[in-house]
Amino acid sequence: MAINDIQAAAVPHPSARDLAQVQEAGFVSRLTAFVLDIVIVTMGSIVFAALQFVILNFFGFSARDLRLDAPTRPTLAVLELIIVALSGLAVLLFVPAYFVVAWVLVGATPGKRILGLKVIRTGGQRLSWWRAIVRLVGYWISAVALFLGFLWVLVDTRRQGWHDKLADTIVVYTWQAPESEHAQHGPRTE
Amino acid sequence: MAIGMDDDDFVADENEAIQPPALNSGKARIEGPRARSEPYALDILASLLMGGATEGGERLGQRLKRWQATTASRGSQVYSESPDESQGERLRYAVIGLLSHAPDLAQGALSTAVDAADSAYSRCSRWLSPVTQSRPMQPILRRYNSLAAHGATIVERWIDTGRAEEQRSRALAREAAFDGEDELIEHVVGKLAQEPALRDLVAQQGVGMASELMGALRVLTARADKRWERRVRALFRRH
Repeated sequence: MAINDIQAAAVPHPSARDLAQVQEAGFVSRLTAFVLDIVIVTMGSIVFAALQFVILNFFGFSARDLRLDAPTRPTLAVLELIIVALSGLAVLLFVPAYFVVAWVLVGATPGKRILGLKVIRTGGQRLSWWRAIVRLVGYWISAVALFLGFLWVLVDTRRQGWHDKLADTIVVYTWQAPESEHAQHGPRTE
Repeated sequence: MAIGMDDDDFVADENEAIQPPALNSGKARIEGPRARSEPYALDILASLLMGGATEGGERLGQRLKRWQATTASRGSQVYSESPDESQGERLRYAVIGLLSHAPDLAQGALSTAVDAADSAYSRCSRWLSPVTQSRPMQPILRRYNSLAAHGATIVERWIDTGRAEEQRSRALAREAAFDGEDELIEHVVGKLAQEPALRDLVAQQGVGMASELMGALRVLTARADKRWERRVRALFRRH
C-alpha cells in the first residue's frame, strides 16, 4: 500500500455513520505511540530545564556563585528559588497539558499521529476538555492496577482500556489498517 | 533508486547460495540471504547504515592511527606541572588519566571476571557431578545436549548470515561513498551541496523516506496488534 493511499484514507473525525467502518487500534500501536509521546515529553522537559538553566545563568541568578558576604545573596537565592519552583510547576503541568490539549484540539498526540491513531468518543465526536481530563486521570487508574487497565485493550472487544471506558472513548486508526496478517508488505512510495 | 544503484544490483533469488561480494572489484555485486527481487528502501538503508558504521569506524581507526604516528614522529615532549595548578585542573587531569587507563582497567576486570566465572563453573560442575552423572538424570542430560547442539547450530547460522550481511553492507557503503579518496569525496560533496536542484531533491527524498518509515511502522504495529490479541485470547481460552 502506498503512503499516499494511507494519507488518503485518513479519517479526520468520523461521524456516527462512518463509525461502522473505522477500526479500533490495538495494544501494540497504542503502546508504541505512548512510548513516542514519552520520548517527546521527556526531550521537551530536558530542553526546557536546560533553557531555564542557561537563562538563569545569563542573568546571573545563581546564588551559589556569589560570595557568602555579598549583600544581594539572600534576595538572589529567594528569586532563584521562586523561578526554579515556577519552572518545576510548568514542567509538571506540561506533561498533562501535552496530552489533554492534543486530544481535544487535534484528536491525537504527536506520537499517535505518527502511528496514525486518533482518540474519539464512542459516538464519533471530538473529546471535550472534561472528557480529556477524565481520560488522563484514567491513565493513572489503569497504571496503578499493575497496568492491567492498559493491558485490558488486548482482551476487550472494542479494544478499550479502563481509561477509555471511564471517558467513553475509543482509539481508531486514521488509515486503512491491514485486515489480515497476510496482507501486503509495508507501504511503498514508488 | 536511492544511493545511485541499479535495481539489477539486487536481483537475487531467495534460494540462491550466499556469495560474499567481490570486494576488490570496482563495482561490487550485492547479494546475500536477504536480497530479493524487489528490495525495500528500508532494507537498503539498514544495510547502508550498518555498512557505513563498520566501514566508517574502520577508516576512522586508520586515520586516528595515522595521526598518532604523525604526532609520535615529531618526537617526545616533556609535560611539566604548572606551579599555579588549581584543584579543578587537578581533578580534570585525574579524570583524563582515568579515561586513558580505562581500557587497561576494563580488560583487567574482564579477564578477572572470566577467570572467576570459569572457576565457579568448574567448582559447581564438580559438586554437582554426582547428580548430573546419575542414571535418572541421563534423559535430561541427553535432552540438554541435544538442545545445546541445536542452539550451537542456530548460532553458527547467525554467524554465517552476519558475516555475509556485513560484507554485503560494507560493499554497499563503499559503493555509496564512491570508494574514492576522502578529499575527492569532500570535493564532490561540496560541489553537489551547492546545487539548489540537488538540495531540493535531497529534501524531497528525506521527506519521502520519513513517510515511508512512518508507513512501515504503522503497518508493523497494526499487524502486531492482531498477533498479540490472538495470542492473549488463545491463552485465556486455554485456561
